[in-house]
Amino acid sequence: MSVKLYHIFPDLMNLYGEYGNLTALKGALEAAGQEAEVVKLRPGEEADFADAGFLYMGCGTEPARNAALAHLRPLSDALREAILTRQVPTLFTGNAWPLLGQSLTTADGSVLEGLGLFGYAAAETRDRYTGDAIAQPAAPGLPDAPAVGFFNRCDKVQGVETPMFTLEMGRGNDGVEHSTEGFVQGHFYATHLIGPLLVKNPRLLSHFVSLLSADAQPIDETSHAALAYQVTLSALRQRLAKGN
Amino acid sequence: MKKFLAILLCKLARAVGKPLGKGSSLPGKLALKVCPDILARLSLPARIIAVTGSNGKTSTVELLARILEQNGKSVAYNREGSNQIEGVTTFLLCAATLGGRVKADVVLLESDERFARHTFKHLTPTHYVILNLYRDQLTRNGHPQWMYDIVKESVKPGVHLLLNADDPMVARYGLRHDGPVTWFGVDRQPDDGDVNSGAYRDGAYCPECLSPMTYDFYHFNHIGAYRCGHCGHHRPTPDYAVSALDLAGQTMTVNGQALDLALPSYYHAYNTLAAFALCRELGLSTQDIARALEGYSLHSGRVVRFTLGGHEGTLLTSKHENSVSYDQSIRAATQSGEDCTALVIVDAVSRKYFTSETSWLWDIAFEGLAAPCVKEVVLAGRYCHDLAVRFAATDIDPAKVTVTDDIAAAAEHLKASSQGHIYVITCFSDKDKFLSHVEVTA
Repeated sequence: MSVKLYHIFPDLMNLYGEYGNLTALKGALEAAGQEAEVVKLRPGEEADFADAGFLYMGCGTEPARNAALAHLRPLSDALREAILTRQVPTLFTGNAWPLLGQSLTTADGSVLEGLGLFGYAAAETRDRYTGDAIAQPAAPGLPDAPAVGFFNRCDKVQGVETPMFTLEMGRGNDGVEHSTEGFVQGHFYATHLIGPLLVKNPRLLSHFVSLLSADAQPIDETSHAALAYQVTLSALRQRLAKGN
Repeated sequence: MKKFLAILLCKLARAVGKPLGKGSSLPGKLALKVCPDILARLSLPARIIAVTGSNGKTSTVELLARILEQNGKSVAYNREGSNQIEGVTTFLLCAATLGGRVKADVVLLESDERFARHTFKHLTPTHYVILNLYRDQLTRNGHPQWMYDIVKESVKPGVHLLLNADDPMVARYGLRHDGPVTWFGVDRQPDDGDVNSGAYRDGAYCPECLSPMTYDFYHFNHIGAYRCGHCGHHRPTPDYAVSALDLAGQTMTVNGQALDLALPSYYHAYNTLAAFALCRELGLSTQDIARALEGYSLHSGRVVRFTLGGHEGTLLTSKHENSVSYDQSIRAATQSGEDCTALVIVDAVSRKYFTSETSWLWDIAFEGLAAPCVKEVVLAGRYCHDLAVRFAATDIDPAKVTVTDDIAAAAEHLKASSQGHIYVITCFSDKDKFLSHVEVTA
């Protein structure tokens, strides 16, 4: 049976290349003998996620994020049921995951109510932070290898007790260098690492494959994906060693 | 006195530095140290023209300078393209008398999107051309909406705006502007699509109200004729419109006037159109503008022709972290339909800073290289494996793709086995790493 991979608001919440996460996951599942299809859910469309094998939502601009929050409200109960009750493997990246928290304070000071699935709260600042990251796994069950990626954000998140990463490079939920970043609860994974995170991190991809298929394949260290990961990790480590 | 000293210091620093090949930033930086408000103390010409946008600033400024100078106007501008406040200060002070009078009819400012709001504090443009806002250098620029807000701070009441009607984000600047607005745009062309052929859809939602937006046609990416069904934001009717565009023949017709194009690219058509619109607004005749553009060739080095062994090739300078520029290069390589080999190089990601961010590769419609005329694709440079992963997600036959991190080896490979014309697609920051292995012909 084909696994349905939901891409929530693919055009609205898309800073760059977020669709690559679905492309990578579909490809890896098929390589493991598991059929998969990507379902694009657009704003205004109804969904109960009863058939969902995986949920993904990427990062957007701040106005797009605010619009996405309004479009998520009618899906709130379905998301709660899928993520909290049925534990459907889920990845929310960038400014998408704060929408499932208690509240979001925008840069002009207005407070938007979150969907309330989780206890954290986000506040937007007028400063944007962009930068490369090396993220060590902090949540149990994650593969024992650092993730690489990029931050492009202007919010801080408070109230996370179970982060996804501890940062070797980059600023975390509180905006501080080397702090903790993201959030994990059950099979819900959230990080501000944006773009095609699962393309850049074959082990993280493999982790999601293992949640969806009994037949996860070992990583081929000579594959382009594995080599690309090594190139980026070593480039970032070299930079850390230079102290800039 | 401080003003006099600042101008003198700037001129001296420039006189010493220029023969040594020093950049144009330092003299201005020194002058700003001596006299921080030096720009406000200059007597400037009546016309100050600023140009900004993600792509095409330098070319548009060069075109404007060409047209204005050919028509007897004296122009002060930065020939080296340094577009931050120090560079602007350098060229203005070098064009000024020691008393601070800038000796020119027109000042042309190429304004970095991020720094315009700072430069314009001291120097208010009379005309402001905004070309486009694309996903560009997001590692420093955040995203186009963020850039929109930053550029907005530099749009002052009273300034005469010249805006690209075909870019829904840029068109917003004209919506509530307290001052004259002139629109330029390209009308529907035979090659235009009914769907966005890019890898992402930045025009899917209205930048004004975030409701779904529809298009009558797309020129490329989100550039075209758009309309929001909710708030009504739509492509304004251009005052200056390209009716016929012949990229291969390097000519186009604007308001009935045929104009030569110095480069066969859609970008360049917009740059030329913007320059035409501005010069018309300044009072030049269509014929005088057309004459100034006849046979004009840009010296920007964006298109480099070369030979490699017995093969002929063209390097199409693109910009890393700027998917629209790559899409344009892919279009240029495949539009003739003649057999070719493509080499894509990503060695240093950022043009200015260190970063390993490669998400932007997924925004490029590399699918265009699946065209049957593309016989082979070579992926090279430090980030060749990231490219290879991206290419694996296209329909391009893996047997046609060669991957090597070694740019010299890629050149050797092309020398031995390339088919048809060689197109090299890379950033200006990486292009010399390839050009050192070939004979540059033009």
